[in-house]
Amino acid sequence: MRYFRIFVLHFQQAFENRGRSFIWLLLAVINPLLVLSYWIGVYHSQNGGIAGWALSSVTSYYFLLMFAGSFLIAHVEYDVAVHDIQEGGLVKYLLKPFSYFWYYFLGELPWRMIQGLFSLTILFIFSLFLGKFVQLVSTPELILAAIIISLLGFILSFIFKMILGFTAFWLTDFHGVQSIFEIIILVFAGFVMPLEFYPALIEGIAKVLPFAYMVYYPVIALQGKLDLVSLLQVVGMQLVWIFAFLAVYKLMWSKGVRSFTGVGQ
Amino acid sequence: MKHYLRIYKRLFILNFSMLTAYRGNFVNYLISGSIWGVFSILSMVLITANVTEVLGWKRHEILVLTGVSQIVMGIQHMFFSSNFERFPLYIQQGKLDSYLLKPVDAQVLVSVWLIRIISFSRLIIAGAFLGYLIIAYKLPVTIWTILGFIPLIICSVIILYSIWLMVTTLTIWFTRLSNIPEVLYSISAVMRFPPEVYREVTFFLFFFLFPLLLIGATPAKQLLGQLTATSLGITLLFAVVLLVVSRKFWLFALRSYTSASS
Repeated sequence: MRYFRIFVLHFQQAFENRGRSFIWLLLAVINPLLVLSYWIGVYHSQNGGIAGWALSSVTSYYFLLMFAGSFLIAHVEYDVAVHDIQEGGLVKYLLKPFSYFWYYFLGELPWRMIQGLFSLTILFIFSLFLGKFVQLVSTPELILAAIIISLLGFILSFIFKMILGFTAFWLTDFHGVQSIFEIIILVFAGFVMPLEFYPALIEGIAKVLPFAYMVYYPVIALQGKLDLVSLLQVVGMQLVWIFAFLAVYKLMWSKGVRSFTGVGQ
Repeated sequence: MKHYLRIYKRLFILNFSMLTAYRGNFVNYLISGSIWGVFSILSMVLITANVTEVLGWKRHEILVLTGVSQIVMGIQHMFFSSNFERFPLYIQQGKLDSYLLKPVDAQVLVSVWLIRIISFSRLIIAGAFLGYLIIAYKLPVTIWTILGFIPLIICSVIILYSIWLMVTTLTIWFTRLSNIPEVLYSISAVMRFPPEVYREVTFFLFFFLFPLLLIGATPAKQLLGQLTATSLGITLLFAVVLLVVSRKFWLFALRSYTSASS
């Protein structure tokens, strides 16, 4: 019940700040639209697709990327690293009778839900007016699998961002690490372009790293580009990464809290 | 004017001391700033890897546009971005009072207080990239080309500054939207792509983004030896008009500033 209360309180806060949510949504929308405009120009300038992708696949990819950017990527690392660890705010959570992990998870979920809802509305409007440019998964079992992959993608990104925040237990300045991983996620999660468009080496690396399982695979699953076997493989890999990250999370938390000093709280 | 230059010199020294006070931070910011600079260029190299021409722009011309955009953004980051990032907080917390009460123009103070000297690394990266393109593609760049290029870059910075000022000024009315500067970073990225790209999608988008599209395209055309008198005239006109309009808008918005119990 207390976790439900935490969720409701954060939902109220997120809903109260829906103007800010809308601005964050704009951030998730603008970049894919800009890159998409470029690809439309590319497809109009040359014959044939790129890496076997037709223009409608590319447009669907970037439209869904807006949804993925606003719903699937958690943004908890700054609060964990700066407000809690560096400024000492962690003290108040250590003294409370609930899990730090679940507090943040239930605090982040409403923000993602509201922004995801905004982006779904935009996606719906796009599909009304630009129907042939929005290809979505259609059969019930593939839809279910795509939804599961999306949820696992969010969980994966959440745990990873918590781990990223925990690096502040040992680093005095979090800014550099945050920037580096922001760029790594942009490149390897598929925010720049579909992984198939990269040179073979980068594509190979991207498909091994966990970041593609946060955004890229959920997006192509929602597009209906994966069959049931591939979808199950993706779910399997997501679970492997989630358990691996959970192990790292527990290790960093237990060691980090011991080295943590909260002064003047 | 002399008075303002003296203040700016003092601000520059203070910002430099702040930067070098913590060596760890200095190295950290240098690395993260440089990584973003390299990423902005590399992402365009990757995006254009499979492409020879887009709506009349050859691949190397798009890359020149990328380099030029990075120079403009580097200057913007160095002199103005941090100030615009902080501006919504001045409004939210009522700190603008302290700037309004000083015997110096408040717009100047809130725009130039912080100088992110470390962003100079982005200018070096972008400059080196442009230098490479000029040599590798044997672009016909002379000393006259460069002399024409510098004032155009200044015009581009003026256009970008004016747009950022007008948008952040909105927080005087919409105090909760403290994340508005983040949108400015995103929307400024439109200049990375050729303007024709947006015209191809819809004329409305092209029309709406037009001033931002001039920022990268006009100096890039100058470097490529393709600048026409019309584009030059339009860019100059936009720089002057937007600077005046943003100033008027700022003064108009200040009338609605209510402070915050400070």
